[in-house]
Amino acid sequence: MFRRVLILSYIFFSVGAPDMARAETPKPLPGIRLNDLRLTPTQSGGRLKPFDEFARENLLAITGSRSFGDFDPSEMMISMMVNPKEWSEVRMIRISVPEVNQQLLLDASRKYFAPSELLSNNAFLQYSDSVLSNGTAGEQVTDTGVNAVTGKADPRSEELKRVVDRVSRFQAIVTGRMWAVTPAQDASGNERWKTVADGMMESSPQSQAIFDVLKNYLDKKTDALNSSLASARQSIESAVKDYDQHKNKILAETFYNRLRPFLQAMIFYLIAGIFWLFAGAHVFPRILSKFLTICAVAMHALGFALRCYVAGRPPVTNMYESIIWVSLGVMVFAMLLFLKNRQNVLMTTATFLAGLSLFAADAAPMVMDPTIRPLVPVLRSNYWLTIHVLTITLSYGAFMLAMGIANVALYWFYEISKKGETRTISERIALLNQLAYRALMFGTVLLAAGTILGGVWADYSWGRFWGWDPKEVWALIALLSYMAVLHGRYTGWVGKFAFPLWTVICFSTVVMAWYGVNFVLGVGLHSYGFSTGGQAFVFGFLLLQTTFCLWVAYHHQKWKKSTPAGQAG
Amino acid sequence: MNSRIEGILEKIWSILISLKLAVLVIASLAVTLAIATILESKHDTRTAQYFVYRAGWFYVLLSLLGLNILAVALSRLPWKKKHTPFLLAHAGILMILSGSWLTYVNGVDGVIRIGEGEVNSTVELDQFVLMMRDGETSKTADFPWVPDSVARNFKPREFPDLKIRVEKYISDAEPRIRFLPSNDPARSAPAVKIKIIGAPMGGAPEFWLWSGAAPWASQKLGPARFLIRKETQKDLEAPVENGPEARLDFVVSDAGGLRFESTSVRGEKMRGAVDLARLEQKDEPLIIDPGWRMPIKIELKAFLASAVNQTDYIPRKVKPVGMGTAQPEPALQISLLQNPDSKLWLGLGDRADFRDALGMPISIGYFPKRVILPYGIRLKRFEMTHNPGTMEPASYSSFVQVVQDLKKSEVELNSIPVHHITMNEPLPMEGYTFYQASYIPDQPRPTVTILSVNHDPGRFLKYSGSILLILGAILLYLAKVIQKKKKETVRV
Repeated sequence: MFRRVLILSYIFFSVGAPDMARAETPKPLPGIRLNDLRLTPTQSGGRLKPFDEFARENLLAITGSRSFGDFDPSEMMISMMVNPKEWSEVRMIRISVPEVNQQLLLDASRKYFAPSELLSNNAFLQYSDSVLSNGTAGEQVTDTGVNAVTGKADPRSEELKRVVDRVSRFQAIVTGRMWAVTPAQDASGNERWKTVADGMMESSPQSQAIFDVLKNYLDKKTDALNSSLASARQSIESAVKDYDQHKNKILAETFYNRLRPFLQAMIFYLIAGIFWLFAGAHVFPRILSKFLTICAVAMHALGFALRCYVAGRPPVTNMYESIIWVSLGVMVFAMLLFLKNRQNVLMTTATFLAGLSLFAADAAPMVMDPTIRPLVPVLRSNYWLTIHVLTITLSYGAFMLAMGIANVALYWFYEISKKGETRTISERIALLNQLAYRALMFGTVLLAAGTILGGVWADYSWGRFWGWDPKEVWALIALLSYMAVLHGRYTGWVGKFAFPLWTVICFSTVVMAWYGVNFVLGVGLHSYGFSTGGQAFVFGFLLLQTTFCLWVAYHHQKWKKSTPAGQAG
Repeated sequence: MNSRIEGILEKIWSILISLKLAVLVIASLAVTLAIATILESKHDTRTAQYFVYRAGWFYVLLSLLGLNILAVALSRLPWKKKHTPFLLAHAGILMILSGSWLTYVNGVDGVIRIGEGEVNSTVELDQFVLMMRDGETSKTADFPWVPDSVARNFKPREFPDLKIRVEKYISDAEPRIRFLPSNDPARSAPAVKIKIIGAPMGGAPEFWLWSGAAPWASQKLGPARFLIRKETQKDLEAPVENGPEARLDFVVSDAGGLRFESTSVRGEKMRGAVDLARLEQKDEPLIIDPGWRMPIKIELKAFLASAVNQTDYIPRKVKPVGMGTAQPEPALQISLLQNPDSKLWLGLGDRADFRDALGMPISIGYFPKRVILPYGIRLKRFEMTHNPGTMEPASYSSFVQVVQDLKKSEVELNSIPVHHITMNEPLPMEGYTFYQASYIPDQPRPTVTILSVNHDPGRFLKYSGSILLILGAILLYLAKVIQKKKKETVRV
């Protein structure tokens, strides 16, 4: 069935498109005022959003990246609807798992394929038939497509599903079946907008307005296009019930998308970090580093606030959102400690950690979905969700800061082993250990509280305080590990070298609780957060960290042996 | 002698109050739990629950932690004001541990399924039992069966003449039906396995025909009906559904011979013998041409003059996709020691009949452990809303009534007050709490709700322990900061 639709729409456009003779890559139209288009409300993914966001999501879903040439995402959607033939020749469908190329007998050296290539591929058509026989295009596998029961994902078939989704999404966009423009209700009273294509048959004024836009775009009449864009927006806005209530959110989301506050914050953090490195020596970097850090935190907080406002809830329900919150937590703890201790090393570590975390969140939009989505039913008790998740993830921030500081302490131990122990270095290490200890205290209190609050929430909504669910078990493992370290300090087992070492090692339990349970283990009740990807990156980080620890431990041990007893620490 | 015992006691005491023991126990707990989650990921939740979280040794480890904390706290006697944060935090942990113990021993955590308009009071737990029933006296007994007693014999106390052995266990199984030759006159019947060649839909369906206790069995495929019967069973007037049909009968003689009788759509009849020797040789496929107008041939794949059906279970290959409702379905193979050949598979929910050493009939079933509520829950309506413009559920909720007297009429039932249970809005009722857990997906809308039912006697201890723990932890932290400040002022 689906196959027939695909082929039909393909044939329709290859014959019906006006200038089928030349299949060049389309170019953006100069002089077009995109603001009206971007701010036009649409319904997609279970909520009302600006067309800008809709376009960005589709662009990301199809190409796997955030931009395509000089095109603004919104204009690209219009262009795709107007020039489907040209666009179907553009190599933009991303296939990121090589086994899929193999299975579809496609060129193994390429990552991007044109829709027409895939639509003329028999293996692909056969597969898409079976995938989409029980779902509608662009709706079923938009998320990660992980098996809900086993939670296990096979990378090849997951990617294949996503490729089918990319192609069917492309098809849905060019045929006008993706873009919902006419507010309406379905038989059971749910708000379900009609798409451009639906509206064409029922001659809805909104579809008509969009049709004018497309026609003017095709004719490249810039002035007429701009006025038709404005009237299309007007037409849709006036049809939305109580649009005034949504208007500010639409504005805020478009602003959020254009501003990309977390990207800005990341750049500020990284530059600030470099200045903090030299803040001890000169006045100029000392002032600049503080200024840049304030800018970064302000931008970070602004982005966070905007996202809260748009989503109507705190952004802590997936990996992307939690990284943003955790890195903000790192900064908050660092600034709190800095107020008391005035140690530049603290801020250097914190700004780099926050900058790199935001970089990681921003760098892999296919792994960490930045889209704002409605919550699954079980998470809709906002009060407990907020308290429990914010507390737990905030503790991750404290542990991350402790890990960063402990790494610096380990570096100084390496220095000792090379250059010998001096009073300055020893004092520096003692101070770093003190700071890491403080951060750990913050972390353990928050983690204990957050885990218990999780129990309260679970008891409230599932009827069990504690069910040995992997996510809660790993939070407990992290807590126990840090408890072992903190108590170990009193037994004499954890000395001034072992403390930073174990602080660094214990952070891997946090990584496991935070990332591993959802992305590696993939079992348990926290299934709404399950996903795949990023393994190489995370394991790379853990490997690097372990290697560093072993390397320092080796040098430290060697130095200890060569130094007379009593002097070694 | 006394001093020696005292010495040993003192030694034990000094170990119990040592911080090193605490660190060791905490670290080993962390490692154990990490292994348990990996076990869960590789197998399933029940396996992890059974081998770790509900295992005795795990509780010993937790008790050791509790004992250690208690001993440390007692060793600080007489307590002073500065001990308060430490005592609060550790008393909190002790209370949480003992609350968990209470839940483990006396708690109920199960599910109840109710269809719209139905009343149910049976809560199914996520633990399974072998349910035995004496066919003569109707005496019953539940025997908890757990995954690690594979290949171990056991004797239920209530049934002294019964010795059972669980041969195999599959934590997530799917059934596979087989037919085996048998001489048991009570249960056996002839069976043929046939394959349709040249079917219009392009496929080549292959299936068994076996009548069991009935005089004949038939299978309809499109306009054709396939039938198996004994010779003694005279020509059947098979029911004609939806117009004329072609028919192929396999007729089994008392001596175990096989012949076929075919009738075409137009009523043309044909019959012929089947050369069973050729079936044995397996040189070439044994094809039967029923002489129908349709270009269809039938390949006879197997014939058993006297066969019984048997359901085996194999590990599930394809995991069902859907909501989180689909739990793994275990199955086990049991045998009676008196009769080691009587191996039989029991899937969850299956029941089978055996004979014990004295030849008495006994039925054994494999069921979830059940708790019967003192009242019934009636589902009046199940409701579900979607995220706008999608089929993703936004919320689901059940409107239920608590029925004390099951004999009420429909009119009376409708007058009972209705409670609304939804995600995160449970219903507490006489010691039990009902939560909206899930539903059974159905078209056009789901009508069977799944509520989780919970009774937790340790709740109070766990909550108050949690409060103490957090309070203690915060005070400990503040005490550290204050202590540090004092030191600094002294230094200055």
